[in-house]
Amino acid sequence: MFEAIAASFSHIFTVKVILMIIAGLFGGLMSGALPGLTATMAVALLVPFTFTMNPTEGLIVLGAIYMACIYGGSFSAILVNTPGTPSSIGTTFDGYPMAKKGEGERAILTATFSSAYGGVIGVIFLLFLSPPLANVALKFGPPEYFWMAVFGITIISSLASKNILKGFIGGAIGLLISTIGIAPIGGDVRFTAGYPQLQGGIELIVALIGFFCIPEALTMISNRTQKFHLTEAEHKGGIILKTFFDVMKRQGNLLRSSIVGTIVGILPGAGGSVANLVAYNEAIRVSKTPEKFGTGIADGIIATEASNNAVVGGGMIPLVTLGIPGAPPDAVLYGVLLLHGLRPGPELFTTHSEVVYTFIMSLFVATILMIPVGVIAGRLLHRTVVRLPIRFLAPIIFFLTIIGSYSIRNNVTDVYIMLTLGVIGYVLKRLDFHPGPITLGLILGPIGEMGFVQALLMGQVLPNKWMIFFIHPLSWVLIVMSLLSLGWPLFMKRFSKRWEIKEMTTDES
Amino acid sequence: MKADRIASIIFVITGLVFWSQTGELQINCSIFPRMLIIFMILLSAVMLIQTFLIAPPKAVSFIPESLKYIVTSTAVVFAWIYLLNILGFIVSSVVCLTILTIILDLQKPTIVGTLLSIGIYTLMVVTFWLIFHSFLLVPLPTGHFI
Repeated sequence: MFEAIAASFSHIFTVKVILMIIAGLFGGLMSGALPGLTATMAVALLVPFTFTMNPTEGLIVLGAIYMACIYGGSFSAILVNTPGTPSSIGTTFDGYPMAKKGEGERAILTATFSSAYGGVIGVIFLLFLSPPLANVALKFGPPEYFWMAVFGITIISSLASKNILKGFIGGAIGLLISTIGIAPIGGDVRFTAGYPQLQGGIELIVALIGFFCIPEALTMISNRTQKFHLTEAEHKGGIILKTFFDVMKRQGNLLRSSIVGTIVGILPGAGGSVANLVAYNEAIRVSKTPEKFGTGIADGIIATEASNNAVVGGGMIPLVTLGIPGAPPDAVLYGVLLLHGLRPGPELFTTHSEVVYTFIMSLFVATILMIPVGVIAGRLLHRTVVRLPIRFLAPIIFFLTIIGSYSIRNNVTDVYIMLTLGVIGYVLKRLDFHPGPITLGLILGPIGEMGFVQALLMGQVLPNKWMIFFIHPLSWVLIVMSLLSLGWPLFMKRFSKRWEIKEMTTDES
Repeated sequence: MKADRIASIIFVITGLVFWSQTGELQINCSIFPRMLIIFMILLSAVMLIQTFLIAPPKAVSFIPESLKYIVTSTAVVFAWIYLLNILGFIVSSVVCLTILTIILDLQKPTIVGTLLSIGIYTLMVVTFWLIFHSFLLVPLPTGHFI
């Protein structure tokens, strides 16, 4: 293995390949920052450009695009409260409030260093722990996927701790929206109100753009008396190094979130959209000051950004070891590998070890190069958004939402759906229903339904079909995790009050 | 509180409407949505009861002045989507972006300022069109124009 790694460096450290990685990083960053252009789309759209390259170079460029795209989603999440990709939903919770406080640059730098850290950890896991971790993915059957969706939904109790009831209603709305269209098992058409355009269901990205971007643009319009959307803080010298040390001080959060991202990435079908929210939830649970989350603190950004970039390496573990894509962009990479005559699976490491190790090491190099590229691009974008008056910024956001929602399926109906959901989202936001739980429901709905119905079908062989949800040990692990996740905020609320009373009485005495 | 009450009633009604559509579905297709509908109706009912029991927080209000701009801008964006397939992506986008900028301008728009906006927007939209149409090969809507 080490010989192959050493050999891979000779392929990577050439001017041509480094320039290709940088170009891929810039392309990925810009795609990620545009709401609607997901990592899957960016990788898929740019596949034809790699046809003329040899397999190794093609994979290197696509890997760099994928890594940068996931990170680039944080730019729009921080600057305009709109996740560029579903993997950055959680970044809006603390990134945007931080930017509103005039610390947008610090938020972007925090996202940059955390993303690089998460990316590196994911690649290390990919390099050294691929086979044992891939076996974990194989243990996940339909009941476990259902419980994973339940666990995901319980995160709402942390996300919407100010009003848990409204959070769960929002989650239920998202789950219900996800059932519109043709049923995944059985094939009946549901809740389309007779519109054939809705048979394909509501595209997650379309809903995401609608629920996040449009309410934000409408809020800007309602505040049109202000000239600018964000306040610009005084330019502080040494902010890059200061933020770097501040991020690196939080090793616990960085490592935990990166491991969460890697593990969620390994599970086929989950991906960065789930990982960032799970990591955010875990960061809240472990924090000594959970009430500060959502007010613009670095820990929130670190958790989401480290985890979503760790998904890149994690998602490739089942891809290269079992031939199962962990996340949607991995499915595109699977196709690219096949296109170049490489069959992903256990024998890939032995038959094409040089290509595989060069690809893995290029991801490592791309992650490191992402720091200077991200710092330059991020600061530039920040300065542009901060200096753009609302009369220009709000229309440009509308423009990006239209182009983003249209380009997913080249369908104007999707744009109408996006705007309608956006208006609903704005009204719900005014009523204190936040978009986070709604989009969480949208993400987990298909995973939960598939798991639930498939498990019930599997359970037909048991005396009681519902027992299928409780007979696997892994299911119990997820059930316990769900109960913990659900009860933790309530437990913390009650005990923090008690602790406060205790502290007050000791102070008084 | 009144807004919460109305919202919870709307959610209960929405749930019932969705439930009424699950009648003819196969069990495999209806079991999951039905479970969700029950979940949503139950939570909405709890919220409805809460509105009668808990003291009201600050009322949600829409300032009429800002509401006017929100409604106008939303209408312009709906018109923009409608015009995509009639005027084409570039023309409809430049026209609607300029209209939105004029609506949102705090000062009375000037001819020079408007022409400048048109110029900037044309450059931006054409750049996006070139990237999507020629580089990424994503077909954008076309109408009588591009």
